[in-house]
Amino acid sequence: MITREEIRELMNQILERQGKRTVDDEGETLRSIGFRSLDFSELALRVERRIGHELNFDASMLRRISSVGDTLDFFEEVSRRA
Amino acid sequence: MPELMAGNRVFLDSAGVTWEELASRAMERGLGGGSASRIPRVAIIARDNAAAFEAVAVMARDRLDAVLLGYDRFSEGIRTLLVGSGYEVIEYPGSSTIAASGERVSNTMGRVGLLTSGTTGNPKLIRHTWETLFTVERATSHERRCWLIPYQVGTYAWFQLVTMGLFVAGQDLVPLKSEVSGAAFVETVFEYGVDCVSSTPTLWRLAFLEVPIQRLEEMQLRQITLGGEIIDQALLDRLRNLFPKTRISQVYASSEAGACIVVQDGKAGFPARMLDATSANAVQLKIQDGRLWVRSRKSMAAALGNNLQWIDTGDRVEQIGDRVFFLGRVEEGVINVGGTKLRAREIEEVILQHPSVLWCRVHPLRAPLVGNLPEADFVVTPKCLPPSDTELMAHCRGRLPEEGIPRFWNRLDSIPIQPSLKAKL
Repeated sequence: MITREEIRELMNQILERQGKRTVDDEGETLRSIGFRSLDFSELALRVERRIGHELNFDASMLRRISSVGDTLDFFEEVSRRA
Repeated sequence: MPELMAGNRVFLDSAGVTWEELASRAMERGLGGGSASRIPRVAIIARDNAAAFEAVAVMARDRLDAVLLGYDRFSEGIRTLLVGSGYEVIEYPGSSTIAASGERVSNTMGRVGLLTSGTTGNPKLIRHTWETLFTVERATSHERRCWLIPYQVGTYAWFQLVTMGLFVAGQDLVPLKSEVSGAAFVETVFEYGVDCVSSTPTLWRLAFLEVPIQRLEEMQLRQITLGGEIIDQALLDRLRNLFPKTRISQVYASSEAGACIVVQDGKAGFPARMLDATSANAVQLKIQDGRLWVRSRKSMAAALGNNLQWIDTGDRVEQIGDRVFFLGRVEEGVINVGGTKLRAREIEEVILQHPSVLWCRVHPLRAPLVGNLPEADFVVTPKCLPPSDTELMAHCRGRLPEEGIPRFWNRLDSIPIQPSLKAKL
């Protein structure tokens, strides 16, 4: 199990390690903070490692993700199902 | 066959023993002594270092048709391969002796078989002759030298040094005294007055990791020879700084192709002008589809009488300007990150340029959306502060495409080394 706050923390670590600013505002878009598909993929792996299970999701679920909040919702949901 | 230097010594202990004495010991222990008209065809499985040098002394003196293998590499699968290839398998020392054994007789004197490491598949039996194994005659000054021989018994690298000990005046050999480690390597150098070291880059990295730099500086080395793995610029620079007066050679060799390239200019890779060699030269090189091909008078094909055969080395190379660089084995594949294809070696080369990184390896990590992400294992140079992931990523930025920057970094305490002295990949 992983909390929303922990997912945000992982997300911020990924941004920070690239010298990018961290985020608090869940309304910010991924594009505006420079969170790209490579970062999303890394976040998925870090969430998997934290919960000890593989995440199962199909690509169609990703289309609706555009903001930080969407990302947190997504990982909360798929990790709950894992 | 080159002339035997029966008085050269092997230092199995502090006194040293000549090849002649080694052959006599082997006779006493039942190896050798067959009639001149009957050339045994044997695979000798040496139980220890002393047995290996005794066996090779007899192989050279009596021109046996033989394979020599250390006991650590022996298995039932290997026995089957050797028997199927027509060899009588003898464990030495043991109950069986060549003189007593009888069935397998050869009509080929002085043929030397060796097994490939099998790191890229099953071990293969390669047949050479003493002439094709002996490649260093022109590179040696004939002054008295004492060489460390750290390699596994019976490998191509081991035979490279053994042939020098057998056939070049004044060349003594010192096997590694205990299990492979950087500390054992350095202590053997001091204990036996070794002044020439042939090894893989990984063994040097272990020495940097395990031995204080002041102690390394005290080594009085005339010659350092590197081979068996890709040699990166960072290691060459490190060695040059530590040993400013030592000759440093990079050798590219394989069991099949023989020793093909020797470079001494302190730069990674080799000069592209070597590709211009003609059939008048002992070695010709060409790049075809990004792979290095070799035609050599010292190859296994030459041992069978075919000097003209081109051999695919299975190594990827790239020519950049007037230099050719090694990129890794063909079968090592690429890391595909969202359609961007990268070779692990290219990423490793950049990471190794970080002053705090002594060693690293990069491998793909299966990842959603993009297929793979690169992950790096690394070892930190002693007395350096371990760099953070952030620092390592910043170092890679600008030197690698975004997709090539490892996302996961694992700091290891030591370099995982194989008995072949190569790092585990």
